[in-house]
Amino acid sequence: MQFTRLSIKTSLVLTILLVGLLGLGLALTSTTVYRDVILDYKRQSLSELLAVKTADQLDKLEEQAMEMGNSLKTSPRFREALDRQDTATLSAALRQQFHQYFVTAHVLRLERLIVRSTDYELITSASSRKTALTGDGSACPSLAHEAALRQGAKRLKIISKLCNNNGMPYFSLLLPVGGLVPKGYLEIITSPTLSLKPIENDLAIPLCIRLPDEEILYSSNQWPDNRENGLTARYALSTSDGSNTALFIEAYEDTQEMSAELVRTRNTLLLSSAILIALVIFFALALLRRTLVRPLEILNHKLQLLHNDNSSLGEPIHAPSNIIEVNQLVDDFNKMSAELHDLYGRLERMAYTDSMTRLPNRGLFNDYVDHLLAKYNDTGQHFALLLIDLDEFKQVNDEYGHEAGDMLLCETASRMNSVLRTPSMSGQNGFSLAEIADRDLLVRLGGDEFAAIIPAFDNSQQVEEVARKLAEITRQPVQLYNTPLTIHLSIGIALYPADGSGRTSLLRHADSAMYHAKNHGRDYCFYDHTMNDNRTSAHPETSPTQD
Amino acid sequence: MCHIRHNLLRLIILFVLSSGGLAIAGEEEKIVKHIPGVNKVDAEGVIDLAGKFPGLLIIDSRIVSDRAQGYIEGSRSLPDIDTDCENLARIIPDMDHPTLFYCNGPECGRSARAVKIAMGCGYSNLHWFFGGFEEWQEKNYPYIKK
Repeated sequence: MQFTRLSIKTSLVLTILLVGLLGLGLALTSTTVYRDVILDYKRQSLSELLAVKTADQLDKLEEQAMEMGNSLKTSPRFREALDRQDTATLSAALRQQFHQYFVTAHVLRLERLIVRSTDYELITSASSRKTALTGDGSACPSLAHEAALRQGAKRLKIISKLCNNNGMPYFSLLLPVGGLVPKGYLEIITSPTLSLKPIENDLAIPLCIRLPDEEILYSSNQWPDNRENGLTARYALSTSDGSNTALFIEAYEDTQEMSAELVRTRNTLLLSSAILIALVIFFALALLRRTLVRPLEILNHKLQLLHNDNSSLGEPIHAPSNIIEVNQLVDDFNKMSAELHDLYGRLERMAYTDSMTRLPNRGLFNDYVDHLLAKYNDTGQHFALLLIDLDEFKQVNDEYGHEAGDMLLCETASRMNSVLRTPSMSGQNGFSLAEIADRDLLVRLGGDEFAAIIPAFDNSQQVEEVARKLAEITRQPVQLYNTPLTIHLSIGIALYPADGSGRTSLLRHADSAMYHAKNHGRDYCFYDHTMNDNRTSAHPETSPTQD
Repeated sequence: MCHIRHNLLRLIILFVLSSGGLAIAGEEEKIVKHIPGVNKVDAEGVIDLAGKFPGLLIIDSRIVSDRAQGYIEGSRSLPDIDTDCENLARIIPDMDHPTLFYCNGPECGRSARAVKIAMGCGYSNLHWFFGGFEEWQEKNYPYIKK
């Protein structure tokens, strides 16, 4: 799995932003959930309120119907007609109720009045001209049926029913007529819709009354066609036997203001969250910068520096932090840097040292020559390159063995070094050119060949003096297995810039001078152009193509 | 000494309080539930009596303002405060005519008082609707309200 590389700062900002966004998302979702819960709760309370109000209104309807019935049944004309079973007069009295009905028209909507005998048989009935009821019988046939099942004193009780007839709701009341010993019954059939209308004023909200098939029986003037901006609560009013829905009573409440308030609250919440997140990011970054980013930047800078130049390896960095791990990291880095510095020194020494004589080797010699060439270029300063060869050294090896030869080489190297100003090779640190700078250098090139550099001399006599001393000090016999051995040197000297401007040419010319000295039995010899390379050098690096 | 006096005071207070409680309980006991020699009936009993005695006289012993809230059809108003032998004689045809008294309910007391007065006047066929209008209305029996 591949991850895009991110800086600590970016990943921290991203993490905080992600958490923040998660929080904001949560706030948004919870607002929606909260709103839905509130709306559900409001809808439920409103429909419960509708149920209570509807029950109240039906009680009132029952009372009003009873009062109407009382006024009818206590009228002498009605009582006398009932006593005489005078159907025509009874019918006229009933019809008169519909004519007088305008008195109570705003509270009660009469549909039909029926006079029944004590056996609940229909004697006569009268209907409103506007009624949807057919025939002349009851709107709720079960009412008379139920009444007929009663015995004794219970026959005097008032009973009422809400029922459906031909898809329309009716409220029927059966009232005994004739005092405590009933002489008949009056059935009052009303439409409940009118009686339910006052609910809109009670609750001060728009109301809609629908038939079970959703047809609107009544709706308030304020009842909106588009009810998407609010909630509609619905209460299903059941018929008295509970088998059907008589009516649906709906109430509408505009929730736009509540929604707007919720949105305002949510926006305030979101804004404060965003500000909080920004502050958290700011403080986290400031803290991070102090404790983590700055030390790591210092560390990183140091590493970049070391990548280009490892001379500052081992120098400790200072990057204080409050974080234990970061401090540990810096400490460990400093420790490792010191160890690496030490290791580099040792490796450098090994790379630049001849293991037998402990003198520097050809590697350091080449670097030093190149260093001086670069440094002295066009400055008018001089340096001398001496190639030193041990005469007839091969015979010593053959005669006394390699061990003796090695001892002789070491002794000769030691003596020569005492003449020159070569820096000590015994230190723990590696050689660095800056350290040797402007000092003499004696190196073993290989086999019985040595070389020396004498920088910054004033005149060639100084160089000659050194060459003479070298020859002299090595000429004193060396005791090998109690046998005194005398070594002769042949030294070829080339001067910069007079004898060459490059390492190869200088070496080649020094080589020529050395052979000249060897061939003429001299200890040393300065190069001059008459010696021109009449022999091919044994040194591979002196080939002219490398110059 | 002081301590004893305090305890004594406490005892006295307790006694006064408990006797007060008894006095209240005694007043509750004053609700008349039975009147010897009078037939006590419930709502159904009233209707049965009406069936049995077509001439049953029902006397409403409540004050007029209470009666305005509704009354049993066919009843006549005679508040207990106006009930005396003279007034009773004006509406009850004879001494053994079936006559029923009622008021608002069991705690009303007016009908009980009226019945006792009627007894004192020598009426013999007395009936008493103990539950009163409260029971009547509750049981959904028809009433008149004007």
